[in-house]
Amino acid sequence: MRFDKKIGMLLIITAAFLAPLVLGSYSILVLSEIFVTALFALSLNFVLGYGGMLQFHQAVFLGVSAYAYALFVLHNGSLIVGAILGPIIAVLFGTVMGVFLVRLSGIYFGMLTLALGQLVWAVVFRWYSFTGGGNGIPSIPLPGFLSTSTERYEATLIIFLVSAFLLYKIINSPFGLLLRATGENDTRAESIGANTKTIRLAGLILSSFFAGISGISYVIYSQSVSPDILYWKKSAEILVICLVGGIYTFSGPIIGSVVIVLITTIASQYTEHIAFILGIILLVSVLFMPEGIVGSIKKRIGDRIAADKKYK
Amino acid sequence: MDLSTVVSYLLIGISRGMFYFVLAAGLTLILGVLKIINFAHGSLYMLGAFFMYTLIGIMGKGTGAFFLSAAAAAIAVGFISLAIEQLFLKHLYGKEHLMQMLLTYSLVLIFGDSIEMIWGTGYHTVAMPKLLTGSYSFLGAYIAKFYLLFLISGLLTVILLWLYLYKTKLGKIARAVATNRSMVDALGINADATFMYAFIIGGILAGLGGAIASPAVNITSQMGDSIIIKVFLVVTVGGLGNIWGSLIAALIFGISESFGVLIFPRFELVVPFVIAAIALILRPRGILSK
Repeated sequence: MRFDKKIGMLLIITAAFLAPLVLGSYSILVLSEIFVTALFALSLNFVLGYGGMLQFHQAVFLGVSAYAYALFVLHNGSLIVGAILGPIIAVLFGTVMGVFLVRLSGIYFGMLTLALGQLVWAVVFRWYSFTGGGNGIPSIPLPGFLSTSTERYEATLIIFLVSAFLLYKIINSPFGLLLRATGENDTRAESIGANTKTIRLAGLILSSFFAGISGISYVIYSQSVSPDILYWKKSAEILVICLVGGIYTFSGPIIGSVVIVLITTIASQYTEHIAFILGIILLVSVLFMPEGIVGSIKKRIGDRIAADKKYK
Repeated sequence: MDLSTVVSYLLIGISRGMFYFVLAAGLTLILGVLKIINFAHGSLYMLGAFFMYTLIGIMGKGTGAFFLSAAAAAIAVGFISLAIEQLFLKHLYGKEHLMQMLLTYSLVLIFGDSIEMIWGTGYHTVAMPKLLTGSYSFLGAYIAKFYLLFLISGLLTVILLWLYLYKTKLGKIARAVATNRSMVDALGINADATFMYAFIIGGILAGLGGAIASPAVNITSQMGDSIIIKVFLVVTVGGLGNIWGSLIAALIFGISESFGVLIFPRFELVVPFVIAAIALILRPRGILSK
């Protein structure tokens, strides 16, 4: 069973690397969008699903990283340094916000994420001379080795795979277990001697780092930034993706990204009312499948195994 | 900056604050009783404005028609809230609060697009009724009569909510539920009915907010998006579920925004978020917390 799973994953990854050989440039772009979205969703789910924190404004970290790269490069900075600077700035924001956030819990935590996040958005939106205001920054230069669409595709794929692997390792490390423990039951985690505030802060910082990486991936994919990428609706969108996929599983946000990006892409060819369709999907998920796609599949399989055991 | 400027900006700020309070009161009532953030509050506000637009179209532009339409729009939004509560939210009581909040978010998406399907993507306007055009002079300052509408609606909300919460049995139960739900259950009182009433009253206030704002704003399918976050912040700064805290927070927001326009015209958009961030950092559980 375990062995099959590994071979299956290797096959999917190989297929993903070879995809540009058979797919057109539009399909490649959609796949890139899935990789960017999936990494971003994983970074949110790290604090939301595992850490149990109501992070309502994850988009800020993607946004500041993408803007940091764009602005640094625009002021004639080195492209590679810019790409490293992005996640660093995201971590900086994550740390400063995190220090205040971990003092709160529950809905108050969520509200402060919204307040701080919208503060960043409002500054970016209004500081026209520095950030380009509502227009954003179009046609951001990329390094020479990312000049073709295939190269950009492979880059978003590699960034996604490496980051997802690292996040998986962190979640299954002793630290990851502690984070999950604080997420499930703060008081109990504290009573076994865990410093829950520090753990939650570390969780937020790591999450902002990976969101920052996804910001760089976003620039590679879209080659432009606009204030929309750090508006609260962007954060809500990614929450929906995590929920539809399943917030208590590792692969949930990835599957959610695949499903939502594909539905959005396909539906947008027929209708302008994509929000309506997404709203219905979310409504149905919340009412009938709160564990998400992956969660409910796992539950089904689990039920079957349990049922099989009963018969034996 | 002379005295009359300060007075007029102060008055504008207070009336804006009262308008925020109309929206915040409904949201915080729902928060206190149901313990969820109703993301759809902005959509209900928007629906109030669109209903107003349609009703004014039918009833004409008179002052009487304006107030009748506003009342009808608020009540219509109340019925929509009842439908939301009975059809969807009811089934999620006892489940995680995150799921309930995401359910209200799904309604944001659905209402936003439905409004575009019904009323189109452009913007609409509602004419100001005759009674509210022109301005009063006060201490040498001129203030548009229209702001009185915000002021009076806010005061009315304060009085009616006080009567509901402190003088009716339902309101008393609502306060008890907000403080200690399990104790209410233990006493054999059915809290589900309280949830329904709190949600309807919250909806009516959102609809009323949309109706009274309609002559002052462009009515679009996005008008709920930005206001909802501001109202969230008012409610949080006031202390979640604390109605009188929300009143103070709404006034602080209204007044500082009004002076923000005067002092930092370019960054007036940033002012409410800065206030909210400072307030939450200094007083994480709301300004009235001990």
